Order: sequence, then C-alpha cells, then structure tokens
Amino acid sequence: MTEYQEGSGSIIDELVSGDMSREQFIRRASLLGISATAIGGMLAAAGKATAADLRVASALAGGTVNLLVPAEGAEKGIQDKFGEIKSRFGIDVKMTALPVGPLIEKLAQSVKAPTGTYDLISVLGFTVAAFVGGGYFMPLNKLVKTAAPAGYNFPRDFAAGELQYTGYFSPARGAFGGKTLYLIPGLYAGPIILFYRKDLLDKAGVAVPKTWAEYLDAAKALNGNGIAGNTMIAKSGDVSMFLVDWYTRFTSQGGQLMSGSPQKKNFAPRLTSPAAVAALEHMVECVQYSTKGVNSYDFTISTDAFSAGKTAMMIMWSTIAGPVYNPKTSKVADKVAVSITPGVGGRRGQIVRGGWGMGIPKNAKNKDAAWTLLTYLTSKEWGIYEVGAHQTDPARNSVFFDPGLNKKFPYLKTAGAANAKAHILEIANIPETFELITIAAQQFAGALSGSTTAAAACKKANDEWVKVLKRGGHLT
Amino acid sequence: MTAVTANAPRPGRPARLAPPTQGRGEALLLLGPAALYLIAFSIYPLVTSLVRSFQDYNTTKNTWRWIGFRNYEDLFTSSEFWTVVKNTLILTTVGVAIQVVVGTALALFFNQNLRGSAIVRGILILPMLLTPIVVGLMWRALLNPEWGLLNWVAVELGFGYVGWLSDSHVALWTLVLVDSWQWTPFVFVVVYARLQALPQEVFEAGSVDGASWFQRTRMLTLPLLMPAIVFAAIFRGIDAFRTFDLVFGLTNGGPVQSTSTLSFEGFQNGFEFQRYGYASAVSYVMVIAAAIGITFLLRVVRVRRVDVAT
Amino acid sequence: MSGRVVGRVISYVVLVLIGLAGIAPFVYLLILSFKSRIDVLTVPPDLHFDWSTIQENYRTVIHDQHYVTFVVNSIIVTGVSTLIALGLGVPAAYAFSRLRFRGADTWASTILSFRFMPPIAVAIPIFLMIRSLGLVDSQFGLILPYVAFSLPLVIWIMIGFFDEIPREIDESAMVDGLTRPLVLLRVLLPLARPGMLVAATFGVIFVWNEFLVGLYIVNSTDRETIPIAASSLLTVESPIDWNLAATVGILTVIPILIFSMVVQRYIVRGITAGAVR
Repeated sequence: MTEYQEGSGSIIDELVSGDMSREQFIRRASLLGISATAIGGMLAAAGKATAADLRVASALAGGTVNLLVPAEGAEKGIQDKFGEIKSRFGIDVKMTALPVGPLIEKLAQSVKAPTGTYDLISVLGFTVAAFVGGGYFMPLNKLVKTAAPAGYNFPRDFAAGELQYTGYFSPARGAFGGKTLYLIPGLYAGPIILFYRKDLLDKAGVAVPKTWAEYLDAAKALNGNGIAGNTMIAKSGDVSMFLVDWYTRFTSQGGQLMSGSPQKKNFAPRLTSPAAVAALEHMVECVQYSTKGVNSYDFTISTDAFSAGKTAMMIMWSTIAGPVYNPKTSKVADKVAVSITPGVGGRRGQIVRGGWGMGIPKNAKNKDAAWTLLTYLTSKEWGIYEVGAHQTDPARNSVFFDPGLNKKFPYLKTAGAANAKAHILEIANIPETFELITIAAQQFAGALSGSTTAAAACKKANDEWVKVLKRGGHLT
Repeated sequence: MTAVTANAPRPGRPARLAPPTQGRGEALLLLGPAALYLIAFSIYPLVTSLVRSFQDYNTTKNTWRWIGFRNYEDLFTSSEFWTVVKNTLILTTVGVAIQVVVGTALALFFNQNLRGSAIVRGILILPMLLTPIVVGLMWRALLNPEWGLLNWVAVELGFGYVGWLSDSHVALWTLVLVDSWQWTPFVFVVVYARLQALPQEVFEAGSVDGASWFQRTRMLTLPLLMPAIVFAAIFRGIDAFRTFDLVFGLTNGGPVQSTSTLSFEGFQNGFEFQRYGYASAVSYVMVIAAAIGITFLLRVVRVRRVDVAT
Repeated sequence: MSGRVVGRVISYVVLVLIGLAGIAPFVYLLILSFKSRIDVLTVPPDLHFDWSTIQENYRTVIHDQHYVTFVVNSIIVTGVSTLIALGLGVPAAYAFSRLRFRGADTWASTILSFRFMPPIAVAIPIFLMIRSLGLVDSQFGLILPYVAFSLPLVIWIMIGFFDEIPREIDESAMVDGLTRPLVLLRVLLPLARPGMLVAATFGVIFVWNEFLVGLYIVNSTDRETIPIAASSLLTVESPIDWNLAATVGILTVIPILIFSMVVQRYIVRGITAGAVR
C-alpha cells in the first residue's frame, strides 16, 4: 500500500494492523463507495495479512476511476467493458473521450491542479516531454514489478521502440528512455502502412512498390479511368501531412531532421537538407497523380476517398485498416491489401513512431484503482477484445501477431512489423512539437498546391522553426 | 413600433419626486447585483488577459515569465499577422457588405407580401439560430471534395470542379459564402421589421407624386431604413470580426493560412500550442479593435435616435 | 397588364428560390442522416431510404451517445442562466431607464460592449475562476458564466422597453407612496412582460450555442451540453461517421426549430427595440 499511497493513510492498513475493527472498516469502506464484493475480498485478504494478499485486497479496493482517453475508437471498447470492470475489480469507470486538441487541454489543466480531475490518463507520445517531463506523472517501476497481474509479460511483449517512447523517460535530461518508467504503452501504437488495391495493381501489372521511385511510377501507371494513382493528406497545417506523408519519405531515406540537442542549446533544424527537399518534391510529384481535391484532404477525407474506391494507393495510419476492410464502411473491403511503406534498403518500412501511453498523475485521487484499470486496459486480454470488436490499433506484439486475429484482419501483422521499425520524431522531446509540425505542414502545403517550389517551402519552414526554437531556448 | 416618446417631463408637473439621496440608494439596490456580476465575470477576465499578454507561459514548468511587449512584437512582426488581419477584414467588410445588400434587398422583396412568404420568412430565420458547429458540419458535407453535393451540382451545370476549401484563392470566399448564408437573415429581419413599422402615408405620398418604384425606394424608403441598415451592418461587422467557429469547423485556417482569422490565431496558439501569453496578446488586439468599433456603433445608434423621432 | 403578371411570376419564382437556398442544406443533412455510413460516399445521394437504417442511426445517437442527456443539460443550463440574467438585468435596466446619474450612458455602453469580447479572451480566466470555486464539471459552473454572457444584452433590450413606458406611470405610483423598487415590482413588471420575453429569447439564443467556455469547464460526458458534445464529432483524428454526425446535427436542429417557430414574433420585436434605441 505504501508503495503508492504516499503518506495518506489507508483504511486497509489500519484494518490489518488492528487499529480499526471489522465493523468500523465496513462502515468506512462503504462511505468510500467501495462495493460489497470488494469489501468482502478485502476482509478475506486482510485476515491473512501477508504482503501478497494486501495487494490483492488493494486491487479489489475499487472505487471510481476518472479516465481520460482520446476519442479515436478504443473508447467504444472501454465502454463495452464497463460492466465487466465493475464486477471483476469493483471499479466504476467514469470515462471522458475527447479529440486530441481538447484532450491535451484537459490533461494540462488536470495534472497542474492541486488535485487531479483524472486518475488515469492516456498521454500522446508527442506530449510526453511536456507532461511526463514536467514531473506530473508517478513512476511505475515498482508497481509493474510487484503489482502486475499474472501473464502481464512486461516488458517483453512491447516493441523496444515503444517502451523508449511511451514508457521510459528521463525528466532530468529531458530525454526519452532511461531507467524510470512512467507510462505503459496503450491504447494505440499508431504505425503507418501502405494501403493498396490489389485488384488494380494486378490489372496494371504493377508490383507492390518497395522504393519511392517505384511508388511514383506505380502512381503514374495506376492513374486514370476515374481512379487516382495515389492520394495523400495535403491539407495545410495538418499534423498528419507532416507525419504520415512527408516524414515517412524522409526518414525511410535516412534523413536527419535535427542537429545538436536542446540541452546543448544548439538544436538546429535541417529542413533545407537535400533529403528534406527531396521528400517534399516527391510529394509534389505524387500530387499530380492524386484526386483533384487533395489539397483539402485530411485524414478522414483521404480515407473516405480510398473506401469509396477512388484511389489505388494510400499511405496512412494503420488505425483506419479496420474501417477500410469492413464491408459496412468500405466499398473496397475485399480488394484492399497492405504492406510496409517504401524506403531505402533496411530502412524500408521505417515510419515515425506514434502511439500513446497510459499513466497515473501524481495528483490522482484514486491511485490504487487507477493502477488496476491501467493493467487491464494495457493487457493482452483487452487488446485482443478491442481489436476483434472495434479494429483499432493495438500496442502489444502478442496482439499484433495473434494468429486468430490475423485470420480475420490480415493487416495486423504488417502493422506490427511497421511498429517495430518506427523511429522517434527528433523534435518530440520539446514542448513546441505541435507548433513546429503545424508550421511545417502549413509551409509544405504551399508547395503541394503549386504556389511555391519545394525548396522555397522548406527554406521558409526552416526559418520559422529557427524562430520557434530560439524562442523556446533550445537554440541560441 | 412607433418612435420613442421623449423622456422630458410634461409641463405642469414637478420635475422630480424623490429626493436625490434616496435615488442613489435605489440605484445601488437595482444596479448593484448586476454590476457586481459583470465586474466579476467580464472585467476580471479581461484584466487577467491583459496581464497575461505581457507574459510567457512555460507549459512544462507551469510558470509565467514577464516579457513585456515581446508577445506584441512577435505578433506584429510575424509573417502571418498581416495575412490574418487581411482575412479578418475581408470577412468583416466585404462579407458584411454582401449581407447588408442582400438582406436589404430581401426585406424590400418581402414587402410585397406575396402569398406563402410567411413560411419562407420562417425558413430564413433558421440559419442564424443554428449551433455554429452544426453549420460547419453541414457545409463540410456540402463542400466535401469527394462526395459533396455542391461540386456535383457545379459539374452538372457545366462549371467544373471547384476547390471550395482546397484552393487557397477560393477558400476565404467560401467562408464569406457560408457566413452570408447564415447571417444575411439577420440583416433581413432587422430591416424588414423597420420597414413594416414605417407608416403607410409615407409610401402613399410618394406614389401620388407619380414617382416610379425605383425612385420611391431610393428617395424615400432607403433613407428611412438607414438607421436599421446601419445598425445591422455594425452589429454584424463586430460579430464577423470575431469569426472563429466557421474557420474551426471548415478549414482550420488553411489552405496556407488563407482563411485564418484573428480569433482563430488566438485559439490555435492558446488551445493547441499552449502559448497562452501570446494568445492573450492576440485577443487583446481584438479587444481594443472591438472597443473602437463599439464606440462607433453606439455613437451612430444614438445619433439616429433623433432621426427616428421625426 | 402583362408586365405586371410577368413581374409577379418572377417574384414567385424568386420566392421559391430563396426558400430553397435557405432550406437546402438542412434537407441535405436530413438525407445524410437517413443513410448508412457507406452510402454517404455516393454522390448524388440516391433517394432510396431504408427504414431500418434510419432507425439504427437515430437509435445510436439517442441511446448510445446519450443525446437526451445533452438536451436536458442544455435546457437546464440555458433556462436557469436566462432566468438569473433576467432577475439581475431587469432591475438594472430599470435603473438606467429611470434614474439619472452621472455617466449613466457611458455605463450602459460599457455594459453592451462586454457582449462583443472575443470568447477566447475570457475563456481561460473564467475557467480558472470556476475551478478555484470548485465548480468545475458542474451545471452551476456553466450557469454562472453564462449569466454574464446574456446579462449585457438583457439589460440593453430592457432599457429600450422601459424607455417606452411613460414615466407618468412611475410618478403616479410614487405619489401613492411606493418606493422605486416596489414601483418596478408591482406596477411596471406586468407592463414590461413582452420586453422580458424578448430579452429571454435573445438570452437563450446566445447561451444555447455557447461552446468554448463550456469545453473548458465540463469534463464528463453527462454534463455536456449540445454544442460541447457536438464538437467532439468534428474530430480530425479518426474517420468521421458522417451519417451519425448528420443525425446529431438534425437532432440539434429540432429543439431550435420548435423554439424559433414559437418565438418568431419576439425576435422581430427585439431587434427593432435595439435598433430604435
């Protein structure tokens, strides 16, 4: 108990030590809103008074957990399981599911207040530096070692890169990785893969592209007869345009986004490097073999276009695989196939690391139950359920490569392979991540819509990045 | 509704009945609660915002740092600022001008009292009552580059595909279009109400003199409608200046910031980038501009009070 | 006079076109709300409707997405805040109308000008205030700031209506010995009732659609009002279920539709009062 009660007394302690009678305990526990089943469990466990049983009792302590998650699909799976969570763990889940923008706002307000609104929060990888780095979350090392359920299989069931990104962090150094664990990867991993119409590729005699040159040729060959060779997210300022379309091309060809480091105050952008400009130029060429409205395409419209059968190829977050393979929401459900994204040699399939991690803020009111819920939502069991029922991205390898799931959803193992190769975005460790990505996406859109050249757009973006980095004190 | 009666006391009656001190006490009782409320909720946030606009917020450390005018400097020297100002001004001036002209024309049109116009009037009122989010949703569907109805119509009618939201030259005008769809009814209602309130003798006098409809409208009706038209124009102008919902719902500022407005910049910097100090500065520039606009509005409206009484 | 007839015909055509222009977007949304997710992608939408699809869409929104909760929250929050705004604003407007004191006009103008402040400028400070009062995520936490949003307009409209009531009525009541507050309560309130309806209508319109401040204050789903709930539909991170979004849109419009039919008259009167002042 003392592992994570941090000073505040626990009534279970008092029951065990004899400071509280059985009757008093029942009365106090019910006042706390603990369910009868849980109380029974605690009493039984307290009778034995060993450390292991105390843990079981605390896991059954239940109560209410205020959960904050993104509204990207998994909230449906969580909602499905409200009843089961209540009966198994005695926990009442009060879930708030929001789009990314409002979620970050709510997260910010909650962790900085004296007592938190939320006990368990899903943290986006890009915001780890700001919030975990700000010291708002509690370390989970001891908990995962001593209070994890059987079969949790931490850390082996997670891709190494995932743990580096939405798991371990070093606030002192402001860097990913290190020895302290603050988050457990979940609910989504967010890899990026290539979706294509196998019927159209077969008909045109085009092989699945392995390099970017092949990709452009394929787009050319497949374009026509009312079908666009490819589409992309080209909407100005769209975060996904930068991450999905530009960064994939950039990093899979060995591009280095930054030089120096924030700590040394020489963190400088390299958007004018040949690799950066080439990546953007490739996108500009691909636009010629896209649909007419591509310049206002965001994540959702791009997916709709593919599902409506208007596109031959699309690079996208694997999370849309579910809707695209589902005959109820996609006209091409039986014609779509996936592969890892193109690239140079061993970098083929290298994408930006996305994903979320679940953590417990230091100011959470109900940390015991929050931990129990955390282990459940990041478990293989829940992952298998969620993918089966709602086809969102999992986070665990055992779910990505589960044979049963892959029979129904063959894209899973490709997504899992991509997840293993993901590369952490070099600017993910400073608070200005979103601002920088938005600025770049705004400037790149100029090149994509033809109002400026790729080189000029990259130069402008680079200049703006220098301004922001200087303002943030990462560059002198 | 006829013109206001003057507040001057009629001759033969005492000017005041209550002693001045009692008046002050009563004023306090009647006004006090409302004033306190407004001070708490309006003035306090505005003062806080002003103070914040001179500071910089560090989201990791959750601290504020005094930086003087630097936010304002950054704002005025940023490359987007003047684009954003231009966009906001276009929405405010050109957009409102369109709404005023069309709204007034509608009012004159409905003055004919055609059969069935009551129903159409009822329909016209709807757009301005709608939740802006729903308006954004509706138009996003209509303007959808893949399956939106508007492009289908445009192609069928021979105009060809229009990049409503994807073409940086067109996007802002698309916003003007949607804004006008939503708020022209407001101008219409204001002017129409005034039109209905005008005494009939005015028109009869005009037609007796043998003037044509155009002449009558230009010489008689429009000048009489001016107070309402001006009121609607300024009221709309100030609301258009604050446009945020449409940008958020339809374009998110793009393409390449061709539709970003001041309000949206404030939102994006505050809400999405967590640059609260800077966002406060953007908001303050707007507050001052709004204050100037309002002073203008009120002066004009009160001047018209005299005209109305004639 | 065939010129006259042609003119008439053109007028009717124009009338119909205006009606269509106004209502077309709603009809489109209605059609979308009748379709299944995959049929949204077809253009032009084919007019074959499947009753079970329609039921499915509406059932999902009303039942699964707690639509009823949002409507109830909206009604409570809007209603209570409008009532409080009336309670505070009517006496204040009365004071402005009847009592002469220095700077009365300047005060009145300042009050109206609060209405025009950009919401983003006040959203966070208001949120911080509500949080320090411990009212985050409560209906009262929404009601408090919403009163402040409708108060200025209520005062402004009521000043106009009070100005129309001749001062003699006040004065004869005071001759009979009533103090001003009582004059307001017993004598003028009944007379000002139409004005209060107008003020209430405008108060409702502005608060019903408020979203930015609410987004900060409300955390849990069962406290959300309609605009806040609707905003989470416009997420850019996952494919939008257009048919469901359209259903939500239509359901949002229905209360407004009912409301606008009932208060059509008052809207016209209210704006006129403002214009004439």
